[in-house]
Amino acid sequence: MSAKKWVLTFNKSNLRIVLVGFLLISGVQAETRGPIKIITQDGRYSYPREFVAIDEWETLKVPPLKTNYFVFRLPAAYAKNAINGFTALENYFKQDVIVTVEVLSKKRLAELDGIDSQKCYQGNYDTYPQSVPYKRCEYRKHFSPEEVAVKYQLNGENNQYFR
Amino acid sequence: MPYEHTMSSLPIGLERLIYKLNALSDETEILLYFSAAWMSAHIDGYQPVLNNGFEGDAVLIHVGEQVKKDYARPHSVSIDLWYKRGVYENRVIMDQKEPYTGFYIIQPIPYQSRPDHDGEHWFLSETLPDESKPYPQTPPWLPYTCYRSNGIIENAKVITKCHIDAQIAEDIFIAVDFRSENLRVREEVFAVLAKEINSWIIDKDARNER
Repeated sequence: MSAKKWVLTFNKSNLRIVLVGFLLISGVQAETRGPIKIITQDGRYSYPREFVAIDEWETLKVPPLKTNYFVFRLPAAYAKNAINGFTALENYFKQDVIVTVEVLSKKRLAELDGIDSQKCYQGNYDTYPQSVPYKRCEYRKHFSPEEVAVKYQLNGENNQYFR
Repeated sequence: MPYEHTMSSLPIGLERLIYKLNALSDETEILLYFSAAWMSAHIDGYQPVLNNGFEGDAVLIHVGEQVKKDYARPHSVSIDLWYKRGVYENRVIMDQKEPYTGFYIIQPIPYQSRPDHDGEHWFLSETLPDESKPYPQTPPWLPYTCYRSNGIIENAKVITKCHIDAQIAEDIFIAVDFRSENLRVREEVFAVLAKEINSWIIDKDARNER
């Protein structure tokens, strides 16, 4: 699927799925009010939580959405407020939530069809000449029939239990 | 080749680098960009955001018979490092593998001992060099070169990159600069890039038959 085609086909249903990805981060997330604050490669954005209904993403014409692939981070401070028990700081490092969104091409759909996985890794912060270990967990979920895959990464020993 | 990997999506600094490369190029190399989102979507364990900055990898692709010969030549830096000679005569090896990356760190002394390069650099290797033994050639001992990408310390954290070459087809080589936190998934990165880049190859025989 070309980037141009993706722009044309990224509709309300797709956006709803992306929001579901947000909500899966925590069962208590739905209780949170206020805008969703995210940071992308092109700057900071604040989206109304109801953006699904008003096509906010399309209205804003966010540059990263001109591709099949989109990554952003939910700031740790925001996640702490939104998710009960979320640890925003471990080992002096902020534990942002990283969200990767992919609109699946036919080729990628064949690889990710039905995926609903959870993997945890031992990571290491780069603090030359030493490394500081941390726990990282990744969750992938394929949403059909819109054919969107969401992957979110939660860092921190205490945050691996949230999904 | 998908449009998203072409130079239009590159940060300004990389566009300048491409301009420089194009000026020197004999059309056997091309610099592509794989975004943090693309890498994250394709590779389990890849960390797309580090130290509050978005990743994304510039991938330099070399193609051709001459490149194949160039890669097969002895690597003088690695040989000097192995035999502890030249600018690396005072190199220091950490006696234990770095616990979270699994590499030995080899540090040149003085730190800025690479000719024509001001920044500090060091090497990572899975096996130790031993100047009392012949330099291994099959396969050659080739440690990864790491360097400070910006040459400065930001909030007591150092931003580093490690340069790794890999062969992904008979006459196709790629070079990727990894953040050290993503070194753990380097084989996965190469496998995914090889699959993707090889899928772009047009069959020359099929093209000529049209």
